[in-house]
Amino acid sequence: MFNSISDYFSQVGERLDWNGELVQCVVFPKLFGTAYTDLGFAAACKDPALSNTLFGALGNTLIAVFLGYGIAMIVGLMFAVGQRTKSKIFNRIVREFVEFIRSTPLVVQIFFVFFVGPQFGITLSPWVAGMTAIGLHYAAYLSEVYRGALNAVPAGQAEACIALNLSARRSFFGIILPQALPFALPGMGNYLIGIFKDTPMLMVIGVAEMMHVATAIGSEYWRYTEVMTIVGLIFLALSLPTAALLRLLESFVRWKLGMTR
Amino acid sequence: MNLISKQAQLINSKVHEMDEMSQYPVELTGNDVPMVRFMNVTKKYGDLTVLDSLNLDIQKGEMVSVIGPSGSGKTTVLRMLMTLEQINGGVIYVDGKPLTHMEKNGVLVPASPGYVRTVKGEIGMCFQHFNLFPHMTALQNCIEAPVHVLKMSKKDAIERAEEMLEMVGLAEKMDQHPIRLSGGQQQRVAIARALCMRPKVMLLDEVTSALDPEVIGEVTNVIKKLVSEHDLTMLMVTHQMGFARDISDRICFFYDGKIEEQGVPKALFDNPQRERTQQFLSAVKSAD
Amino acid sequence: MGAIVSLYESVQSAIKVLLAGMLGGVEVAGRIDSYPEFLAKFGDRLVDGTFMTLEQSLLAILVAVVMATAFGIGRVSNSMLIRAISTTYIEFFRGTSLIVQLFWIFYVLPFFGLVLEPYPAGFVAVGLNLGAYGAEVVRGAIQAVPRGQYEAAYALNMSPRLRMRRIIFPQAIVIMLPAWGNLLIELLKGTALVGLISVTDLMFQSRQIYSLSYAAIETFGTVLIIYYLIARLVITPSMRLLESRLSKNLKRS
Repeated sequence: MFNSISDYFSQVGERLDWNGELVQCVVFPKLFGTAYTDLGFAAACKDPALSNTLFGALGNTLIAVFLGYGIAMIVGLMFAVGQRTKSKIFNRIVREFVEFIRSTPLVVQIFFVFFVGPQFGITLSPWVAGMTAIGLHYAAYLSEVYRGALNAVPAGQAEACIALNLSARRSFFGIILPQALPFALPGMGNYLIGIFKDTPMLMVIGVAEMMHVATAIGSEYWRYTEVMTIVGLIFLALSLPTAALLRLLESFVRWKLGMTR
Repeated sequence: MNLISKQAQLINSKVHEMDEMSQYPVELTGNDVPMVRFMNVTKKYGDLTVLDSLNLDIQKGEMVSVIGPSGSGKTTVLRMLMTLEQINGGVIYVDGKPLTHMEKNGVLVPASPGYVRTVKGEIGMCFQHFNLFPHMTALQNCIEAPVHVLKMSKKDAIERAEEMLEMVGLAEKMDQHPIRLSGGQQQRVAIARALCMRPKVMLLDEVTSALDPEVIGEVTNVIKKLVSEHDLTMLMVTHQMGFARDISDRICFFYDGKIEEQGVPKALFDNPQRERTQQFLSAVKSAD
Repeated sequence: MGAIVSLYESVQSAIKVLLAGMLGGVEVAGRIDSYPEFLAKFGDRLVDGTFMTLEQSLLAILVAVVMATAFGIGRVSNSMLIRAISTTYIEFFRGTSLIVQLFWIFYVLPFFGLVLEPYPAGFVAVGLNLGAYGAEVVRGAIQAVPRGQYEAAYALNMSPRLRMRRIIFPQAIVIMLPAWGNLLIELLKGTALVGLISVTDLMFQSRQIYSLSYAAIETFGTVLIIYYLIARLVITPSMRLLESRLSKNLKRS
């Protein structure tokens, strides 16, 4: 145990060793690729070995986020609409399916999708499997958000559409959907941040996103501190401004639609 | 040069403040100390002055009704007395002691929350929307504060609560939760709850305004009982003109943040002096 | 204490025996041809994993509830310092990924002198993370209690602490229950990640079983179903029961 508080902190300071050669000569190059130290930032971006560095992994992460969220938005809408059809049985089936996906862990779903292919003879690449799993998972979440938003639109709106003899397509896309949008945005924003934070799960099937690379670096040099901290900070640095931007976007959309409350 | 004059300004305003506060006595003494005194009380919401240099005395055991159009500041008077609102000028005294200020070196300074609590304990309040604690029975509502604030034993508190609930006519409902009581019953429990703290002053903020017409009578009867059987000092904001006329010792008509006219009920209702009072009273009559 | 542990363990073995009995002595030879064979061979592991997951979940719930209550109330405190500390905790644990936090607690803290075994590292990380979300739920519920309740308590001369403890928070609990139902399911899913730091939970077992059997659908399918059953048959009904119990006196029958 430590003799005194100051003792403890000086020990911690020793171990942190942020100014050591480790950071300069090993961690930073690993972060940005050796091209960085030799030739600078621009060259590092063109380096083919980029995806093994933390910086390249960040790119992978962002691609995963956008692709995954895109899939989720579209499939989620399908799930939401699929629970409002005329057939009660169909609604029920979709509902149960969505509940099943929402209540089970994403990691296990990823394993399922990735490993189930070979059993039927098709091999899915980690990327495809990962995107499918994450896309489906977040589609389930988003469908709940959509449902809540659609329910929040006053019933009178649908009645007015019928009274004006508007087509079903026009009613939905021109009248109901735009009014549901402000209700949906907070939830959608939260899940965008959520999907970003869930991308590390893809590392369990080998997708070279940030956590995967970070763990690799950490285990190679047996020093996890710097790498993990940097990854954590990158997450924070990306998610906090995104959250703030989303709040701005929310109020902008409300203002545009004339719904200031 | 500028710096010095700024300093001088600050000191000047501080002295000015102290000067201003020195006109207010640290304590009210004498034979006829009013139970409540508003002295030059001002209340502003930003630029809007809701109450302008209000001076009002309420004597011990007096029953004062406050009437007036909405926005006239009448509810604000009650809320300031209960310190639910801060005042922007002047001093409020309760039973001779300052409520909103406390003494420091012979002058009055703004009171600390701890001090306010000691003086505020003499005042009880009932609200328009009852505000009973929904997760407690009527009895529990009444014993909650005596047990936890006055540190009474549970047995004593229950005894007192049963007495009060008996007085408002709800003894058999004491184990019911508010959700099972009608509006009139809830308001009566609220009155019993306030009385269990044995306040010297009771504030009633439009206590019948949220009630269905047929239950207003239950509540007004209880208030009548309070006035006749106890010598509580009471301040009531109400729209029930007939009721106010029946039981009040004095009526205050508020308009635009000032007391437009005040007097004994008979005088004010039958022979209003001021034009605005006449307008208000005739408008209220035609609404009946 | 020891008696409770052995009772717990005997319950676990009892379930395994029950499972084996239901499968009626199915013979497993070499390749697994059917689902009952699969269960016969790996049922024990699944039961172990399930119990570990339940343990982790329960402990994480304890941590999360304590954190959420403390920091949720702290978020609306009158003291600026307490508010700042609460907001920092909430934003930090909500803004970063659970996996990152988990790995940080397990891999990085040792360098600061705090070495945690996988078992406690797991539920502590999940508890802290979900506690931050819970704190926001608690805060929202406290702020949803009608203003009149504050005023009535104030008029009865209650101190702020008394008011929160006896009047505001009890009413907030009823308000926050539905949101907690969702949070608890998220917590259950969060515990699946502790398998990544080698806690032998259901997720961990699923990978083991797969590496032994290569039967993806059976393995991960069964595991998914078990998680789903826990969520739908244990968590959701428990929350509904709690909700109806606590709001019994607040709703007209």
